[in-house]
Amino acid sequence: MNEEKKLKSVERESFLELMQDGFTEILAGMIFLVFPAFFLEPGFLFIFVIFYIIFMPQVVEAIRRKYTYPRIGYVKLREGTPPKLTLEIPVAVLIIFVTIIAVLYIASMGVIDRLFIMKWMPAVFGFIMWGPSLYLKDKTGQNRYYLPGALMSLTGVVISLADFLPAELGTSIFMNGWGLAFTILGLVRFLLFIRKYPVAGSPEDARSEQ
Amino acid sequence: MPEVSSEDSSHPIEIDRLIHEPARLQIMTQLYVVEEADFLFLMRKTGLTWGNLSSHMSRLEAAGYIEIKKEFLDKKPHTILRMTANGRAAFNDYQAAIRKVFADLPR
Repeated sequence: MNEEKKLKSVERESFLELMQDGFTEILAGMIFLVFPAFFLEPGFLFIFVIFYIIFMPQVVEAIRRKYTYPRIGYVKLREGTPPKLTLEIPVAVLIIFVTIIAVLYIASMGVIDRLFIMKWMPAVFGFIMWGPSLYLKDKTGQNRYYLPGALMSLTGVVISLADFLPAELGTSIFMNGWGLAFTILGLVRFLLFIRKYPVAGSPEDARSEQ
Repeated sequence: MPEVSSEDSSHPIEIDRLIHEPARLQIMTQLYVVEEADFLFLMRKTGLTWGNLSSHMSRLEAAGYIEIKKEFLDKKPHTILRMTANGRAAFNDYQAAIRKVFADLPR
């Protein structure tokens, strides 16, 4: 049992090593910043998804090859199946939340329209963020990763309850606000990372020159 | 073939000495939890020098526990290490053996 805990802790340390460079936060921030553009032109969504699926992994790897690996070394983490908890909790929370809203709305004899969806989109996105939060908590073992899920669902509900005209404005404020926050956080972490870890002269270079 | 020791003839507990050596155990533990890693990463995580890591790496490779991939990045040599299926099985056996050693001890 102890060996399993030790192995889990070694795995978490390796995961944390890669998280230090701040790229995860920068990428999340960029996604949130781009999102409101979909309201202006829904076609952007298609382009974005294509870019995200096809090019993003290569782009991230190229950046890490240039800035991260020369400093802390290269490591590829094992891709296991996500823990059941990661999927079950946010899905359950989301279903409950959507059901409550739907029941309340139907109770008031309204009809679900686009404005209604727009109004509650920040809250729904906030709750969805529990998924990445729980995933990162499981992968790193650090409780601070509960924070994005908690703060984003809280701000999501607050913004959804406030009346914005047009209704898209609330979602844009939510997305851009969090996008900016994540991007700044990522850039700060990146700057701290390159300060903490200068490019390590590879011992293999010295060996090959001899 | 890896070296193996036994406690006594009636209850033999086989410990893979190739893995049991502290530096190699560190390397194997690191590689067990990741897909692959390079020399720099392993040096940082294990605290071993280039020479030490290189020598232990060769022994693990000779036993078929790890595989070594050499490539060039920007004209610089880059060595990537990965645990093989044999290495993973040997490490699992090693864990089981160690667990058995301590399970037999009185509390």
